Amino acid sequence: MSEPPIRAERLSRFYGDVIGLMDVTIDVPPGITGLLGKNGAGKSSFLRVAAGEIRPSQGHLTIFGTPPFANAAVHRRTGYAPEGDRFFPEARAGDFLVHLLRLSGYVRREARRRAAAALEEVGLPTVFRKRLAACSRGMRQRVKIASAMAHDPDLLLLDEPLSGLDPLARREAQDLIRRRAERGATVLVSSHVLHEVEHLTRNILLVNRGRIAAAGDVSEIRALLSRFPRRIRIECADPKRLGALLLAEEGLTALRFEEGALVAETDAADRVYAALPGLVAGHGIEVTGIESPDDRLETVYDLLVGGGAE
Amino acid sequence: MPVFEQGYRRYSGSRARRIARWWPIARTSFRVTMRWPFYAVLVLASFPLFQKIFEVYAAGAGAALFPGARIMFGFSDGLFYDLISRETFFTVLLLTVTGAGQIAEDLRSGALQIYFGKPIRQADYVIGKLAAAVFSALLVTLAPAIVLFAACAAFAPDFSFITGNPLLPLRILGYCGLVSLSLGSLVLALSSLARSGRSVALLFAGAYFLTMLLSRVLDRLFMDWRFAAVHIGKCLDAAGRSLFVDGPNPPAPTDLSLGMIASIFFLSVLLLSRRVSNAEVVS
Repeated sequence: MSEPPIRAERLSRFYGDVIGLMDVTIDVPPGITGLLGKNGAGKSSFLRVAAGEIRPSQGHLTIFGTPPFANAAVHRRTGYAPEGDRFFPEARAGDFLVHLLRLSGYVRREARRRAAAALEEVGLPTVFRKRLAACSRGMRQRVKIASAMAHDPDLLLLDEPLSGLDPLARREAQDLIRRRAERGATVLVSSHVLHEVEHLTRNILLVNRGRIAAAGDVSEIRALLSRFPRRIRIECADPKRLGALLLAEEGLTALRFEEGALVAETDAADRVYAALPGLVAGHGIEVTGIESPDDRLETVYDLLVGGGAE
Repeated sequence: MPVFEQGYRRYSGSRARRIARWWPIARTSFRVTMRWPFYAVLVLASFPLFQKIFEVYAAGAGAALFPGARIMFGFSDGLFYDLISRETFFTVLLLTVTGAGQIAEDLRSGALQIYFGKPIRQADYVIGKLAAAVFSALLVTLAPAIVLFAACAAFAPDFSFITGNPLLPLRILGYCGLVSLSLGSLVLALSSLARSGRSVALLFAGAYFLTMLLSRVLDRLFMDWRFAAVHIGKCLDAAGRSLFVDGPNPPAPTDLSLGMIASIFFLSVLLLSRRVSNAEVVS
């Protein structure tokens, strides 16, 4: 089997007494992977080790089979957009990209062509000659994404790429990331805003206090949560009647009534879902909506990271 | 099929031919230095050149206007030694205002992370920065020397000056290279020690003038001319004199001076490689 794009084995990174990453062992598959975690969880540390900016304190991490630190061959195949701004303050957006592309090995003419194309791709075709210092935060964020993508890397490491973007730009950036993945690039994108990642991928890595709390498809992670009760919110015309019917179902642990809805808490959500159509149809209860708040990634995140899984 | 379940496909983007990776760094670094202090030093550095051009003119084509000039001045290697050794001071001045911040500012602004996130080696970065500093220095050493050489060729009564000095261009190149490379590497090494260009500028200029003072004091105190080699300016002067003029009084022993210059260069390169090669910038 071929080497995964990113492989970490017992990877730890310490900043003095502070733990950045602790004993992380993970394979990041091709495609888009979301790196989720709260601020200070270790997302940026993982991305910086993967980008070859910092060395692991213990263990090791490989990109396409080789360690990335001070490795030009890896940097040639990697595009990294860090969380903070890293620009030459006086530079113009286009010149900055041209300079980075020249460092990546492109001749001036090709670098200019690619810089213009990259700016166009992130929706900034007119800022080539605009000073970065005069650009808005959203513009600088998009220039940063362009700088990571302009040399067509095989691996994109994007640290909070959507922060500072307005909703429309965010949607465009998400489409852009998806397009890159469809063209064969592996994308590791970090965020602490969960719905941003939900829109990009279902393959996630959940980081907490420097450790991987969970990894895989959202549904797989949800399966890990079987020991936690799950909630089902049913909007209907007669919540109390439906509640009484549901009490007969096995695994129901709690019932709560809201305005025009009831919230059932259960250890066996599948049974409740299976029984619900029969109950509703058999007793003529009009149901206007069913949702499970625990199906949302936010809940998975809160349960795993917020102490539920510890 | 979801994207993450697809097999890994390498995107076949076209890659241009390999170029010298240090070149974009050198070019950008040099462009950054081109602000008013740079031009001011260039203007100041042109005065010794104008003086030498006048001397050459007076001794050659303008001899009829200045009858005594041929006795005072003349066409010799010494002209170039004199010019370049005087330009050494302006090289220090230029590197103080333009070279001091080269690496310090990169360390401060996090630009090193930008560079080392790209497929360049640490050597490319150091060579690029050194090339920018050396090129700046050559503008006040080699460029005036070339202009003076052209003036000599234009104003000399015949071509014997040129035909009689076949090694002169090499000597000029050697002396200018020595001055530019040693001072350029020194200012960059100091620049890699700090995050503020101003502190480095003070340190570099301070070290230059303090060692000059120290060499004089020690020379007088111990009556030993070897102490002159404490000052890099004197060392360069002695090296230049050995290249151009066989005079009896070099300012410092030539062997010792060349040893000092070599030591400064290698120590600077060593320091640069240590400071830059392990550039793991933790923000």
